Amino acid sequence: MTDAHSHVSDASPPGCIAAVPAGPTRSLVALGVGGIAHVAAVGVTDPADGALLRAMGLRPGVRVRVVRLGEPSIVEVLGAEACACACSSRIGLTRQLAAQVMVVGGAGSVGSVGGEPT
Amino acid sequence: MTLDLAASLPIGDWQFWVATALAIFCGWFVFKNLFPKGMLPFSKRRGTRASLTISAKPSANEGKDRDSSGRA
Amino acid sequence: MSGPQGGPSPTGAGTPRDPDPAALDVLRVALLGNPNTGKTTLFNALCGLRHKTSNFPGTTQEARVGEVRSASGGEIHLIDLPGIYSLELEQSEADVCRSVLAGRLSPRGEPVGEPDSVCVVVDSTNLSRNLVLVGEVLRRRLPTVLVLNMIDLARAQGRQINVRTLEEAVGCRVLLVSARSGEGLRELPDALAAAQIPTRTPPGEQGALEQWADRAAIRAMGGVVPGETPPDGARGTEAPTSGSAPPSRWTATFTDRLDSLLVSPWTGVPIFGVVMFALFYAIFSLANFPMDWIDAIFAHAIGFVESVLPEGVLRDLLAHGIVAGVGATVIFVPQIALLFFLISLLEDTGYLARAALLMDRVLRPFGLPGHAFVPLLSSHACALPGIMSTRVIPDRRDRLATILIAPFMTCSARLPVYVLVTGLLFRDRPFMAALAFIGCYALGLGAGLFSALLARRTILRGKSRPMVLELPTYKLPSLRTAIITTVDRAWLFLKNAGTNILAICVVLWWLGSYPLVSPPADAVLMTQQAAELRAIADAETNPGKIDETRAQAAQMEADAAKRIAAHAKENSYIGTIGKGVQPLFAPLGYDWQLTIGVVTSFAAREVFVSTMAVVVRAGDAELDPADAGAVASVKAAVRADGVTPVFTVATCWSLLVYFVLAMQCLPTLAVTAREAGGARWALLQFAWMSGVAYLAALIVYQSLAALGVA
Repeated sequence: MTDAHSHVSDASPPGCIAAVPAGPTRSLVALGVGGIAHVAAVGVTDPADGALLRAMGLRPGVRVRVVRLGEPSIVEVLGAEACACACSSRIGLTRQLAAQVMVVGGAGSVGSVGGEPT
Repeated sequence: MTLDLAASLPIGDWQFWVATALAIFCGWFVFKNLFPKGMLPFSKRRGTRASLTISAKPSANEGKDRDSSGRA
Repeated sequence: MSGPQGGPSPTGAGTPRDPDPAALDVLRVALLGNPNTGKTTLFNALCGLRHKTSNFPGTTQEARVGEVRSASGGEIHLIDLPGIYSLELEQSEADVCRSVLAGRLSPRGEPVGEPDSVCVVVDSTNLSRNLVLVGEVLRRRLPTVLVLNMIDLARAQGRQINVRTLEEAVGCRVLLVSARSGEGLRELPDALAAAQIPTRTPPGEQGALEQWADRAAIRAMGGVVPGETPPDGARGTEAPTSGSAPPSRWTATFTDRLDSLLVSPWTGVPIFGVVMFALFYAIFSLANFPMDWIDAIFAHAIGFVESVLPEGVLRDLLAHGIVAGVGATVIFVPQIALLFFLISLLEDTGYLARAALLMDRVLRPFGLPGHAFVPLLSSHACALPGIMSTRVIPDRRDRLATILIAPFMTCSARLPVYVLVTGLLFRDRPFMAALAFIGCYALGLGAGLFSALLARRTILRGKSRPMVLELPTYKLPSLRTAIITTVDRAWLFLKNAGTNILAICVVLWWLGSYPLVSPPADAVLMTQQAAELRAIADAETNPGKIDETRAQAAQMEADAAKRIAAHAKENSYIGTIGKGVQPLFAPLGYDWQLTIGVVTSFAAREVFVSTMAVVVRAGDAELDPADAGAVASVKAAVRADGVTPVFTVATCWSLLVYFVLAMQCLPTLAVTAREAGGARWALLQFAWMSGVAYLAALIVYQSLAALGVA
């Protein structure tokens, strides 16, 4: 997994649905409210928490939108980029956990839902 | 407070015995509910089935990436 | 696998199971799915009230088994499994699901063995995530049916799902349903009976499985998987390559705004306060009507028994042990039912999830998670169902802490005592009485939170998992779900608490009826005098005098009867115990009569007022005409010296504080032992609460006495 402020070392293999774009990563908190980005890694300290978040849909490659930052934080999971079904679910989590979700790219402010370039 | 001179149980009354039996049963009922049977671990259940044989069902954990799921 | 005809049938990939025409065997179907997919609504829609709630042996997970009939008449048992995001997670819910699918575990009352088929409920608006669980289930190679629920919602959002394409991807039958509207439900039982082993085996490795799920979801939505050639136009719906339209921007914004409002402390807490106030107000005002009816019904029942049966021990047992015991439980059902009904409605709307998130911040400093909020709320009706609903708490230590402190929340059974004592303290000042009432609630809550903090710093030490919660979409609540949930919970309460309280009442009746004693001298004297008065009345000629004398005689007889009853109680086993224990409670300001009341209510708070009513020796104090008979005589009770009231001001406060904090409920102790996994937890709970209650009442009484308050 990548560490806090590095580039993603290699983008996911070609043909992979949930492609993680290359680029600098930052935490969800740094993305800001309204920002939409791709999840690069979920680096939570407790693996059980990480497994739960992944099972709930927060996994590398999916797009997320920050609804609320603070205690608690709320993120909307928008599904993989090419996943045209635009699936969405909302997850409420503590600020501490939100800070451990690393994302790549993304507009820093309110962007349109479907307009994310690959 | 007055002193009672004749305190007794009506042992000649059949109704008394029925009522007493019921009361004892109720007392036992409440007492046993306070101490539930210890939780039996799954392995002691009957019906442990032998899987993975002719029916060719793959193991539930086959090929799973154990690290990410954190499962022991 | 399928009942008495036994034996695993040799199957391979794609081999259909023989459908069950004989309808002799019961088909066992496991119902699985992510949380918030409407699985419960589906279960309720199919089975209605035809279901049983028990638990999975060896766990505290609740198991619901419902009955459905297929068109051919075959009986299907639907086993509702807990909602999980993945079978591979390290949590007890996932453990239970794994064990059930593997045939190692079954609900109590069901034969152990693999289910005959599996039904996975999927949220149509969230396909790719849900399909991960589907993939894991498909790998189990059990006959499977996929149910895409909330299809009406998906359609409203402009999503089009191609069933054929999805069926091809997953290799099993797919149905589109809406559990709310009933669409598609009619075909479901038959589909379950005809379920087949899937023809596809998704990959096992997690990343590959997620990819598979995404691909399947894209194809089902009519989109094109990157790197693949589009399928021929003949298949499925005509959809552009970008697939279905994304959900409307307006909905997202509205949800965002509402979420922010409900979850941010500045706005969320006041809203929460209003909602809670409305909830409790509704419960206390609405529940009064049925409670009054129940009171009247049982009073009549007791009178009826006494008039119909010949005098004797069994009549006494029936009237004052059994009927009274049943009444003591049933009277609380309206409040409990109403609370669960309203909680279910609130939960359905999606509000409770936001409230739990908000409450996490408030409860964390005390070592409790946000998830504890609903169980603690439920405990304000009755700790029993409250403790049972702690199952939603993921972390074990968090859960134990919540279970241990749940009985501190003021439950319905304490209210008669609160009403009695605050009525005595603030006789014509309802505002002060209401304040004292609220103070009692606050004291219970505060003591609970403090105890949780203490527990988490000592015996349940350890960091708890940070809160993660899915926030379901806002929607109008379902009345049917609420009704079925309410009936479920009320029935569980009656079964668990009711049976215990009834048994306790019978035992208390026996201990209070024996040994038989001869009537005290003063009562004998009074009876003699009454007889003399009657003789005088008979010989009297003046009609006015006759009535007056007869009335006097009747009054004397009533007083004598009361005196005899009180004397009998005082010298019964329970009275002897009370008098023996009284020195222990003397520092709290309780005399032997009050001690009997307190000791008997150790088993169940409900019996306090009725026990006191029999035990007390009434003084000459003015009776408040607003009080019912039993309450009036209790309030007027005097101590051994014949003059000092039992309920002095200091004693009242001491008693109030004691009842707020004491653990006086055997049924709750039993449930604690069961849910926490051992009698030692119940013992701890009992010892801690009793200790805290005793100490607090002692301090209150001694301080007030020292300050010169009577």
